[in-house]
Amino acid sequence: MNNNIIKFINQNFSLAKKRLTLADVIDVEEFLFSRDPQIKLSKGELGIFEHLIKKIEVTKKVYRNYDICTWKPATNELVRVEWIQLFICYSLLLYFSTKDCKYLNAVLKLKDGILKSPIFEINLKFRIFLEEVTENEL
Amino acid sequence: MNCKNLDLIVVGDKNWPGTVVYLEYLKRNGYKIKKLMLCEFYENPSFKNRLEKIIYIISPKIYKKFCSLNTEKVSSLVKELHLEFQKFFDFSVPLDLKSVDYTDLSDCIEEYRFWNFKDPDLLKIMLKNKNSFFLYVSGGIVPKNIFDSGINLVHVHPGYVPYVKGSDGFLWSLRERGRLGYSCFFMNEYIDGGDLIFRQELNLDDFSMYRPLLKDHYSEVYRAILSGYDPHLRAQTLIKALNKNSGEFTRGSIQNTSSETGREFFSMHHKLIKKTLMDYLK
Repeated sequence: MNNNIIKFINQNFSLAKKRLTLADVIDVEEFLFSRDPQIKLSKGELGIFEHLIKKIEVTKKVYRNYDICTWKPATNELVRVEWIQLFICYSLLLYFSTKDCKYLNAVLKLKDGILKSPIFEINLKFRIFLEEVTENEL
Repeated sequence: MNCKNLDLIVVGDKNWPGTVVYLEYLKRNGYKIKKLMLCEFYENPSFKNRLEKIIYIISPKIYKKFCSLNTEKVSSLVKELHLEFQKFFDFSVPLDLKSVDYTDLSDCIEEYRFWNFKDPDLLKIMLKNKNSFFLYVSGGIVPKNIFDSGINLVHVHPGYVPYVKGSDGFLWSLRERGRLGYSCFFMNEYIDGGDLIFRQELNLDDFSMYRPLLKDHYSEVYRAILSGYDPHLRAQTLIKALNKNSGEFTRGSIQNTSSETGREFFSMHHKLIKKTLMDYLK
C-alpha cells in the first residue's frame, strides 16, 4: 500500500526540492513541496505534520499559512487543491507506516471537508485513488 | 441503611439517562448528595413554530422560560439496544425519562433551564454553593470562567487519562489501548487535563451477538452504547473514586500523573467509528 501511494505521488507531483525557510509562519505548500515521500520525516517535520493533523481533525480545512507559535491560521487563504491531495497522500503514508488512526481520521475528515467545500475541484483520478485506498482499509 | 452525606451537587441533564444512572448508583451505594440541579439545556433553540421564533427574537430570556426544548428523535432500534446493553448491569434506565421520579433519588431537587454551560445564570447559581463539589454529568467543553471562579467540578471521562483525552474516548480507548478506560478527576480549563482522583481500565463485555447489526446499523449501536452502556461504567468509576477516598473528594486525594504524557483525541469520523466497532465488539 505504501508503494502505491509513493508511486501516486511520484506520478502526480513534482519532486523538485526547495529549501524550507524557517520563519514565524509556516507555508504549508512550501513545506509539502520540500518533502521527498521516499525519505522518512525528520523529527522537526513530523512535529509540524502533527500540528497540522490536529488542526485538520477539528477544522476539516488546510490553511495556507499557520503561525508556528499558536498554530492558528495566519491568513484566510486555503491550500490549493493539488496540495491538499499531496497532504492526504503523506497522511496516508504515515498511517500505513505507524498504524496510528489519527492520520486516517484526518484524511477522512479532510476528504469530507473538500467534498463539501464550494471550491470542490479535486481531480477525478485522485478521488478514485483515495476511495480505493481508504475503502480497502475500512 | 445509613447514608453518607456528600458535599456534592449533581448538575444533571434532565434529558440524559446518564443523570439517572449516576443518581441510582449513588443511592444504591449509600451516598446522599447535597442537591440535584436538574437542568434542561437549549444548546440550539428548536423553534417548533413561528410563534416560538418570534418570542426568541423579542426576548431570549422569555423563550428560555416558556418554550419547548429541542428533543432528539431516536429510532426504535436505538431504544431497544439502549435497554439491551444495560443487561450487563443490575438495573436499567429507559431513554424516555418522563416516568422517572427524581424525588426517589434526591431529597433536594432544583429545576433549571439554561442555554448551555456558558449561561451566566448557571455560574450565578453555582457561585452560591461555591464551597461544594459539583458533578458534571454531561459532556462537552466547560467555559474557563467557571474554573476561574474557583468552582470545583468533578467529572468522569471515558478514557484512561492522560493517555486518552478528548472526544469519543470510549472508542479511542479501545483503538489505542485495546481496553476501556475511565477516569474521575477535578476538571480544569484544559481538555480532560485536571487533577486525577481515580482511574481504571476494564475489558469490554461480550458484544458478539450484536456484531451482525454493525454492517448496517453501527451508528445506532454506538448511540445505544453511549446512552445505555457507558453511563453505568462512568457511575461505577465515580463510586470507586468515592469509596477509595472514604466518600470524600479532597484535593489531597489526587494521583500524580505528571510523569505520564498523553494525547487529546478529536471526534472520530463515522467510517472509523464503524471500523473500530467491527474490530473490537467481539
